[in-house]
Amino acid sequence: MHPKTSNMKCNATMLPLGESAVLVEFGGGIHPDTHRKVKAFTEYLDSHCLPGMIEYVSAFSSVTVFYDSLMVKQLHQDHVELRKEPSYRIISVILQKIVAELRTGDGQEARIVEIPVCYGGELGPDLAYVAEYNKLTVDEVIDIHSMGDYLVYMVGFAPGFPYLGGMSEKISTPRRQSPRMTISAGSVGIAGVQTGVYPIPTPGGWQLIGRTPLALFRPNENPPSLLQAGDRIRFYPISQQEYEEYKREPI
Amino acid sequence: MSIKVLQPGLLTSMQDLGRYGYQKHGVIVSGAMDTYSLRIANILVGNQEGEGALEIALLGPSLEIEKDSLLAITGGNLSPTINGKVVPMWRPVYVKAGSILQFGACKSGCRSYLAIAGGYDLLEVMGSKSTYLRAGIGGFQGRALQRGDVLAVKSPHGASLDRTEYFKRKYSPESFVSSSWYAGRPPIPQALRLTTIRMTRGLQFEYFTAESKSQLLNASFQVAAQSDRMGYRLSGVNLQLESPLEMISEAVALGTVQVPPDGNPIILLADRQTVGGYPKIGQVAIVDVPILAQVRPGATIQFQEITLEEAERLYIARENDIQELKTAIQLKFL
Amino acid sequence: MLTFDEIREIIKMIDQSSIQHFELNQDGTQIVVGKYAVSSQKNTPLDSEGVKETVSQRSTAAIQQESAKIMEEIEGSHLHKILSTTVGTFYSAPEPGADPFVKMGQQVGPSTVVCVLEAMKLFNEVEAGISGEVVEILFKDGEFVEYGAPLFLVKPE
Repeated sequence: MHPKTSNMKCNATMLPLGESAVLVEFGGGIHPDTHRKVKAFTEYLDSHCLPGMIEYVSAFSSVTVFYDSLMVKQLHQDHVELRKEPSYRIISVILQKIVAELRTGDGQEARIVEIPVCYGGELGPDLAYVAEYNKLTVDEVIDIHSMGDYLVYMVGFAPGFPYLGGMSEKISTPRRQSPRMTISAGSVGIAGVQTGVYPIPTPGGWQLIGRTPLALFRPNENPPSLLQAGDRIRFYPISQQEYEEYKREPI
Repeated sequence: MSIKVLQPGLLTSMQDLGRYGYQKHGVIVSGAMDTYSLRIANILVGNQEGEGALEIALLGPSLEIEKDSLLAITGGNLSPTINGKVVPMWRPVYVKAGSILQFGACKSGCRSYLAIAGGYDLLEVMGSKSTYLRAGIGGFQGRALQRGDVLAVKSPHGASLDRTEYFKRKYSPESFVSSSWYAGRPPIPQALRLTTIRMTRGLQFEYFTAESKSQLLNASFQVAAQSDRMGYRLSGVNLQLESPLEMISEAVALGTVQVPPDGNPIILLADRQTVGGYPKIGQVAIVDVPILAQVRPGATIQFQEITLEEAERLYIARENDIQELKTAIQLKFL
Repeated sequence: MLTFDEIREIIKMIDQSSIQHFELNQDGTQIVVGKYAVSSQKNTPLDSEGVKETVSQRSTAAIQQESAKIMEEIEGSHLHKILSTTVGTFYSAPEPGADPFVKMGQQVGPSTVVCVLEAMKLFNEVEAGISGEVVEILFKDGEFVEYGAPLFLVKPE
């Protein structure tokens, strides 16, 4: 676990992504400290209603706020300094104020989500290759992967797909030469220094080391994604039999 | 009350204005490629403008209308006929039960929208009736229509009921009756003509070579055959960065023009992913996305740069035009 | 006395028949229904005594007067004017660059669409309303048209 750094001040650059979105860039690349700023900002957005805002997308070092420019203009008619400005400037001024008052320590404790994985066999056809590539035994790969402490930096690419940070470089493996046409939902894979779980069947070139019986994408639930940006993840190994049982009767 | 699918067409799917509020969970927006046409189709039959409608791409379906209904067809002209007779577009059309609505050759544009008074009777998934094809959710069973599907239609109510009744009174024993007026629409691209698409500079525009920047705005691009609801792949000019750019994934938007390492730009559309890691050279103006959505693969486009302020002004003007149109249509039924 | 619905039914029946003139006396009520050409100036069969309900299809004095006026106006040229049905902007074609709805010298029928008038982003089709040949187009694309303004001159068949 990363110790909580005490109240960092935030600042960010506002960049227009067309006439209906502003990208709020915190800078600092892929880093837990940057993530804390992103998280503090999205927690504010989750609990406050911004007039004209439609939704936001958070990423490694940025949060993009989507808005309706017509609504933003209409809602700020009374604002003497801003009413003649284009909507992205109005939104930028509002967001800049919010960012200036953020403190990273204010956020909630990270949630820990445990994900059961049946490693190897049919469900993880590339496990042996990953071991061989890193000159490790299959069991060592499983140990290293399941002992890691992973941070969900962002969710994207596919519904419920977590971009995870924290995988040991000891098991990093390049993508497959020829991507598979379809990868089953629940597949746990490695691509370079990244690890991830496929929520829906997708074509892809990741090295598949196992599969989880957990559904990461739950279209009929709210939220529809099991994992949220800011969650911490731990994988734990289960047997094929446990996997089958879990599939039959999800907890 | 329902519509039966006799022939499904190439890709006929239920769409609305999209699934908003779930992008932070990686759930894509989806929705109509040409939202303008979908909105107008709904407005014509007295529905809420964001009601679900069928998006009909390139090669249209053949549908049996099983009950007297008021419908409207907008978007690209895919030669719609009812019992063999040409149906006028961009206006309400009252159709008798048992009529066969058939789409034929693509005359202009490439996507038609079919709205029906009352709306299609489907459950919303995450607040939307749009089909999310890849995840297999939303719309009609999470997929494109297939032969034999039966789409339930809700009974018209409010404005959609009033309008249905209005045309019922005008009905003569022909296969359909329509209004003597029609809604204005943006120019629908013709297959062989060059379509101009307005754009603003993308966040990484400055990182491209001077030649690439100039070519982006002066050369023409062909919409590649692999283009789909996710995005339009363009070919014709190789756009290159001045020097390699360290990019980490961040959000993309409708109309984002991104450039992968091969130099062929991709314009992200309705089924785009929520995030991307390629440099963004441009951003298509919101008002021109519906026009772009009607450009057929194989056709050519060229970009014209406008300022962000201009893009916003165009958007606000268009929204005002739609409001005006709504009022004008309401007045027709007073 | 006959009800309004009954009277309406009678008119409908006569309208669909070849009967030109119809009179009915019932309980002191007299109904006279006649079909008269617009041009007929006389022939007003209202000379009976007692209560009278006179219903006629197209021959009220007002309409006769009005038609006479229109007839007089176009008498000189023998041309029919297609009039504007709304206030709006004149367009001769369904969209820019498309073929016009009608050209000079073209034969039109009563339901031929001759132009569209745009008002509040809505395009209203104007039908010829008569069979004949288009001899003059009185507006250009984009010009503003008042309600009732003549749009085309047609030489009736």
